[in-house]
Amino acid sequence: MNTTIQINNIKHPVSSTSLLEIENLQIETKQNILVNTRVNSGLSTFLKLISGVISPETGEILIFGEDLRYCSEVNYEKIKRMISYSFQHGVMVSNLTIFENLMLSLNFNMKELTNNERIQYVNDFIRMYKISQYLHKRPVELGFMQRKIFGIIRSCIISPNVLVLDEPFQNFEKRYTDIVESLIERHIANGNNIILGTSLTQHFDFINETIDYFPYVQRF
Amino acid sequence: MLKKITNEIKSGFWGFINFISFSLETFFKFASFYKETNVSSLVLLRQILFTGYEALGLILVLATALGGLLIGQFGSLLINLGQSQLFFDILVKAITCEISSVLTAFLIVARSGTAIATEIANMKVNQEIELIDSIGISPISYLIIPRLVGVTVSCVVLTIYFNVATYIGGWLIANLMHPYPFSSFVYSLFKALTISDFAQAILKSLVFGILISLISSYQAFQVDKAITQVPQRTIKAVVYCISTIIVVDLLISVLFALF
Repeated sequence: MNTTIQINNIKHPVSSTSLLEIENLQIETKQNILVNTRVNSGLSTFLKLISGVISPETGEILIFGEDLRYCSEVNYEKIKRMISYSFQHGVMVSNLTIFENLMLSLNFNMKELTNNERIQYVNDFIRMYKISQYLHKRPVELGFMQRKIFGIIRSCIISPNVLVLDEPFQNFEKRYTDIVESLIERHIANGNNIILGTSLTQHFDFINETIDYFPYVQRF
Repeated sequence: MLKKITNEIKSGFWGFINFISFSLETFFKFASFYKETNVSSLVLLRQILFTGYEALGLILVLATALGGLLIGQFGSLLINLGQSQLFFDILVKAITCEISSVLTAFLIVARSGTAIATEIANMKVNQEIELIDSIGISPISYLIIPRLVGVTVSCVVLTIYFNVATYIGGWLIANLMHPYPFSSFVYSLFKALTISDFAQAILKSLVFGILISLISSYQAFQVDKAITQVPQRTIKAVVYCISTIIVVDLLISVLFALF
């Protein structure tokens, strides 16, 4: 299982006027990848496709060797536990508090822990970043940056093998950028990998390979 | 014109087929709902609280008033016609077999059907459904099945409460008009009430509960990315729920009349 993600002849609409088209693309394990792009080029669609959040209209995407549309329920759960996508705008379930949102991920993905252990795990994790004052608020009560940072934490907290981050540094002030960097460092230090999609022309020390995303979108 | 009508029929047919496949998928996912009760039990609890408990006051007030009204009107009419022996039979047929389940279902459509459609449709627009799916949780077992169970259980329980409140309201008015002992009222009522009448009311409320939750959720899932679709789909959910309830009510009544 060396290939994490294998894309074969996919076509998927990005908007009513553009189509994402990729003939063949492989993303290997044990690599931290930067997906380089420009604004409004369908980056989120691409990242959602490779994370298995959405399925392509035509073609296939194999994540850890499995097409999520046709794999068994056991494998589906296993793969979802292995790859986690962080939404660009910090999406959270709006009728749950931040704490409940984080617990939702853990309840599903860390069944080996007891409920008390999961609560302790969330509290310890949040305490490290000194943002526990927001834990019992609902997403709508938070600003964009706070919501986004908790969205990234929600993806990291289950320690997935591959963390897919969609514009994690966009529109952030310094202290939130520091938190994201610390989360990424911690994630890589635990032996896991990241796929980072961004339109920022910034250098990241932890990146091994860059994918140029521009050729893949057709406009009509 | 003919082409437009044909297209409407075609889209209606495919809409119905999609709804059936959505409903079947929901029933097939019941197993995963039981497996994942640690994540979905909270949604179920909230649904029962909202649909069942919080609507109880409204149901009781309406049912008591309706019982008083029906008994006040029909009671006097039957006495004047010299048919007072039919009083309890008519009451049971009207209230238990028809009005209680249908009116409760309408109230649930107005409160919970619209709430389910709006909430899930907004979640769809805000990418929250994608988020739930990305965690690995099936949106059907996390969002739809708890609502289906919650609304159905609440619908059955509220129908029973509706019946009780209607009869009590009726007795209060009857007692005001002509003093009538409560024990005699209850005795005559149970004499007129058959198991078939009660089963009909329960079956109807059960089916209505399932239909309300499925139709509302299905319409919500049809929303794409535009927030303007949310009220449109909510209105569709209400219209389809009410129409379906009336048709299904007729079908069940006919079935019970035949067998």
